[in-house]
Amino acid sequence: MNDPDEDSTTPAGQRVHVVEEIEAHGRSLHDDELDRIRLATSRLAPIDAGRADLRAALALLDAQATVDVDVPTGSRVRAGSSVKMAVKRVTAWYLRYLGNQVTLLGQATVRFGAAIVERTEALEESTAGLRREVEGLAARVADLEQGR
Amino acid sequence: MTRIDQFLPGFAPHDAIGSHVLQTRRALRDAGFESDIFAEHIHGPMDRHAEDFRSYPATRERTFLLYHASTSSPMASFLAKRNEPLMIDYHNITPARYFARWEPVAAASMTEARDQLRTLADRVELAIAVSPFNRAELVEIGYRRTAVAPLMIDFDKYSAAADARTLARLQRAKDRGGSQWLFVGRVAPNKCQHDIIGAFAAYRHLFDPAARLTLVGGMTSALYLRALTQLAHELGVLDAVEFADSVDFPSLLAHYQSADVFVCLSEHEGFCIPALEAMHFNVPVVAYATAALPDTVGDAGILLDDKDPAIVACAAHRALTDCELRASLNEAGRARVEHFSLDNARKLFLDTVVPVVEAAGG
Repeated sequence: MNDPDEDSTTPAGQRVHVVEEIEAHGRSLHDDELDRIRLATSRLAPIDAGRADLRAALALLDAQATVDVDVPTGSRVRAGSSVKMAVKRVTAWYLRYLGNQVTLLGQATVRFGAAIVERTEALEESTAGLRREVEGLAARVADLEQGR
Repeated sequence: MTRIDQFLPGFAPHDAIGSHVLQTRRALRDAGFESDIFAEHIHGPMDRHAEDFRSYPATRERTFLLYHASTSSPMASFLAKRNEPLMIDYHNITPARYFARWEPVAAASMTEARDQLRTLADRVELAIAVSPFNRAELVEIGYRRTAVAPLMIDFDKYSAAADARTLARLQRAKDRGGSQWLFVGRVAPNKCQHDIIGAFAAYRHLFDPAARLTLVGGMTSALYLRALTQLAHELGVLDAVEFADSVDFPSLLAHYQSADVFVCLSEHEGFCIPALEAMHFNVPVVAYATAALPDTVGDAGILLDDKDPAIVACAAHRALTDCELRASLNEAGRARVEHFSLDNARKLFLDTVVPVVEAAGG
């Protein structure tokens, strides 16, 4: 947090200048890998979504639809990693087969969800139009009943 | 004798609020008050310290109620309807927007908790906040009499022995080279572990391909955790990132003792004890300057206004390589830990609460 009034002779003031240097340096750094990291990270940033936000729910489903069969093999136990790698090697063909089917199911579900979202939004739009029409008609009927 | 009873929705061991409530009870009893703890959910070994709030007597003379507000609970309306003077200690409620995308049910619960907090405003004699950030929230929603008294943290307990096996494992990893990043906090969208993973990937790309990251903390959202592992995989750092889940206290100590830098990019924290824990272990803190983090970290960390991955990576690199900066951060960190010492926090709490109780005839 930069405080421009901070005295640069104090340790706290010197740290403010260090932060300014760091931020300036970091901002100046650009290459393909950094851009890829920035893009991938930003996808998980908080978004404003209400409970009934179908598009946010669909985005979440889309993000989770792919099954990752590349199981991590790290372990806290020394021999654990070797055991996990061996199991992974033995079961890779099976997991790939299963994973592909679940991924396809996920993708199909996303397509189905997208269709529902579009259909629902179209219905909401036409319902709003119909509501306006009905309100207009009701006003005309009321006028007619009153003999105007 | 005047009584000040505490109420909290969830009472769990090794939990920041639970520890604070126990310390608060000790401070109140030492100051000559009677004080007991009542909770909605009492976890495991804490049942010897607390009773179910539904068993609270219908009326009590010369009694004040202190409610620790942090989540939605039927306790809020229970306390609002009672006749005893009510105080709250506000630990913060995560804004629903952080959970809306991942856990809509949890998001609804957070919205409800904020509604409850709002309805208590007119009923409360004194609203204590554990940080100036929390106090600003209370003022904004209509609380009139507010004060800041930080969490009571017993830093002596960090002198206990660290878990030897965890320490040895982390040391073996260290011996292979590369610096060790650490973050401690629940795996939750407001803690923004995705930003830490992004910054860590940038750090490995720019400075230290052998670096490792440990994320200690229990899971709040399974979907968010899955998205984090996918992100780490996509960025090619999955094998260097350890999702350590919640760990026991000796293992936590081992993680702090082995860490080279503590990186916190949370967007919403009501206090952030882990930042102080890192300072206690002379681990430099790099943090995003938002919510209560500037209040807690003060001038004892590298506080960034921008958490772009490259900027955070540069900050961590500077904290790890600039010896002068590191020494100055360590010194400021020790002062910060002393500022939040148990004695100081107890005194501030009692100086805040006792005059209100005395003025009300307690």
